[in-house]
Amino acid sequence: MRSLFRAELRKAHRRHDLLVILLIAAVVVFLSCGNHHPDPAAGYSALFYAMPIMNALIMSTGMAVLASRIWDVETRGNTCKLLFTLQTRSSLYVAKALLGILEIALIGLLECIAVAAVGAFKGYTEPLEPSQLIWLFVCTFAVSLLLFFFSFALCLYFPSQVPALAFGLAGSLVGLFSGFMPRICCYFIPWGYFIPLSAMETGWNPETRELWYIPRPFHGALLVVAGIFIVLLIAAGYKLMQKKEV
Amino acid sequence: MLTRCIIAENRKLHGSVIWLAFFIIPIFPAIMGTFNYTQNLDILKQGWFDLWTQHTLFYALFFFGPIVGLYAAYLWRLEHLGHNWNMILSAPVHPMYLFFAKFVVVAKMAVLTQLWVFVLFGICGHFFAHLPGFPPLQTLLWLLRGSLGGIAVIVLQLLLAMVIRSFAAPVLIALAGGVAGMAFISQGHGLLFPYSLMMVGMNSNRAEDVMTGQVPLFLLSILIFSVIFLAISHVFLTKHDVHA
Repeated sequence: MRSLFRAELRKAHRRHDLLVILLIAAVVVFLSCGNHHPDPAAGYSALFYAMPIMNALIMSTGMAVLASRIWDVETRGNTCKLLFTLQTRSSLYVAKALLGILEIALIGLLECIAVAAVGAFKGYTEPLEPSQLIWLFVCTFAVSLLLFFFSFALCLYFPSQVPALAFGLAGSLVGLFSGFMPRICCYFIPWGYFIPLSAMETGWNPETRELWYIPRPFHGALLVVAGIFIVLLIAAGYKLMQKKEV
Repeated sequence: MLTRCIIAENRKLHGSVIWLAFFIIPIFPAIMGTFNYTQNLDILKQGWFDLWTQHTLFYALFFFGPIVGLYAAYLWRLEHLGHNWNMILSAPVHPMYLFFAKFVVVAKMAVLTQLWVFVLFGICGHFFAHLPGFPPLQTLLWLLRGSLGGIAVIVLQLLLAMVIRSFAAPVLIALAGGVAGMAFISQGHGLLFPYSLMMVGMNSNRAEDVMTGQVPLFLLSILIFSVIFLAISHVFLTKHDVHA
């Protein structure tokens, strides 16, 4: 298994996956800072509020791109016939899934590092809450994983990469849109799970036009739902790989 | 020969899954925009023009670039598969004809997408926002002006899809370009960045025309960016060797 994973890493190196990961994280951070609260005393709260919204916008497309690139290398090289004689289908799936998981963890980690770095750079006076940072990482990682395995299943099911990317783009819009819908609707739209999982919400006084941030309890139940989706999608992808015609 | 190349490129789109993206993706900004509009009727009083701001905000900011990127990547992908790249470089056709043919087809798709957005705008305005009459002609002109602004993005995406040889990466770059374009517009430098030109042309998220007196500069900017990207593409196609 280790050699198979190393082979996937080598393919990723040739594909410049690291650049893609950096680009996804950079776009999310850039957008989150663009919406930024000018008050340094609420700086981190503003970031913890903005990042899940931007994740909802970017990650669906980003994960479709990542999944497409991981699978596309075999489609373009027409290597499936050869690989399926050299290794089991399940080992190929596991190696690619592990690579995807690793890359998504890296994106989550980069986002968390960026939160701390932006705070230090802009001189926030608000203390950085480690539990909020860990929660941001866990939620970003879990929901991105869900979107990644959904896109990966589409890549395996369709011979073309277009449906995965089209669904990714549509998912970005739907995910963002779910943020504007009543809370109950959000639970039925996994593309936007970043937003209901967010541990920060805003209060707004329309008369004084004052905006403030309110921490809210971590939504563990929804995280479990996301986990169930991930398991189902991994199983679906596994099945599709087993049945894939070459 | 160019006409034959265009016909060949058009044929590649027959029965293609790319039409799925064409039909589905613009529906979401239309739903979002109409929902936003109907939820904020107490502050949005300019009827069709306010609906326009809501419809085009997300579409122009984040999704026009990636859709065009998808079209461009799809057309180039066919040349990157198997030995097709060697074939096109050895075919008795100037490689730039091939590039121009792809440009014409992607531009056609982009204009069709814009018209589809307009149809959705009319349907949503009439049936869901219950606005009187028809959409103002000005909004159709803004859409077509947005298509003009999209020319630079189309050439750039064709260049990226040709060079990067990955189907997905140019789409992600287009999304990042849209984000950067937003920053350029917010700083008042919309004409200095290719991905901003479409948003400026579309008059996205604005009920008043933002381009009064700036049309010559807008056209000049499109021309300059397009010529630069075409020149780079020419160098790649004529000087760069085959990567089998």
